[in-house]
Amino acid sequence: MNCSQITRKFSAYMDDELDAATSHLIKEHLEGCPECLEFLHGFREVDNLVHGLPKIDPSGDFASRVVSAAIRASDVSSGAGVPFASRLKRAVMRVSEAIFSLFEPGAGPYTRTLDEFNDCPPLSLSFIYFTLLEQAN
Amino acid sequence: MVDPDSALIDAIGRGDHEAFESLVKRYQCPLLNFIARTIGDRSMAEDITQEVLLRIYRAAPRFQAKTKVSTWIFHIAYNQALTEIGRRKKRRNLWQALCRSREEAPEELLADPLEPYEQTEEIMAVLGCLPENQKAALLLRINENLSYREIADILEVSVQSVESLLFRARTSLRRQLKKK
Ligand SMILES: [Zn+2]
Repeated sequence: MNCSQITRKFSAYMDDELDAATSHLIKEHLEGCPECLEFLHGFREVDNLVHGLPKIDPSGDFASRVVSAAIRASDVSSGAGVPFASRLKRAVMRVSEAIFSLFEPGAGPYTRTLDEFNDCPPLSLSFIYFTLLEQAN
Repeated sequence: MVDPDSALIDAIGRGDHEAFESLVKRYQCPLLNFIARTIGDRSMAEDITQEVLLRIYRAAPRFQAKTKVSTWIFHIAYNQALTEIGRRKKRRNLWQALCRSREEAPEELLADPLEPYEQTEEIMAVLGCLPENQKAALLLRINENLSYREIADILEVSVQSVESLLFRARTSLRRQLKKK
C-alpha cells in the first residue's frame, strides 16, 4: 500500500475497526514514514479536541420535568378510553365547582356575592348548582 | 451479552415511572450533548432531548430487542436532530453561507501538524460546518465510544459508509484546524 492508501485507513485504524493483518501493515508503514505518522497525529489531535469540548449540563430540574411530562402524558392517554360525553361532563363539573367555590365563606379575597351574576340568563346558575348536587349524591 | 438497559425499558413499558427516571438520569447528558453538537445550538437542545425521552417513554412497550437500547435511543435522537436541522435549513441564515465557503476550501492533505491556538471555539465552529451525518458519526464515535456497527444502525447506513463518514469528518477538521 502507498501513503495515500494507508492514510485512507487511518480513521478505521485508530478506531480499532480493521482486521489484524491490515492493522499490522499500517503499523509497519508508520515506522518508516514520518509523513503518514504526522497525518495520523493530526487525526488524533482532532479526536482529542472534539473529546475535550466543554460538556453541556442539563438544567437542574430537567430530569424531574421530563418524568412529570411523561406521567401527565400517560394520564391523558389513559383518559382517552373514557367516552366523550363523560369527559365533557367531568370538565363542566370541574368548572362549576370552581365557580361555586367562589361563594364559599372564608374562601379569601376572591369571595363574591351572587349579585354580580344578576345579568346571567335566569335559572342558569341554579341549573348548574342542582346538577352539581345531583352529581355529588 | 445482556444489555443492561433492556430491563429498564421493560419496566418503563409496564408503566414504571422510577425506571423511566433512571433512564432519564442515565441518558440526559449524553443525549443533550449529542443533540446540541449535532444541531449546533444549545438553546433548543434541551427541548429536543425532552422530546426524545418522551418518545422513548411512549415507545417502550413496543421496543423489540433487535438492537441495543442505546442504539435505539440515539437513533431516535439523531432523527429528532435531523428534523430540527431540516427546520433550520428552511430558514437559511448567514452561518450556513459562511460554512459553505469553508467547505469549498482546497485540499491539503499531507502538511504541517496542528498548532495550538484558541481551540475550543475553533473546533466548535469547524465541527458545526460538517454535514450532519459526518458530525453525528464523529460525536458517537468519540464521545460515546460506539462501534462502527452501532453507528451504522443509528444513522441507518452501512458500516463502510460509517468508515467513510469518519474519515471525511476527521480529514475536514484536520484541514480546517491546520489553516488557523
Ligand atoms: Zn506513508
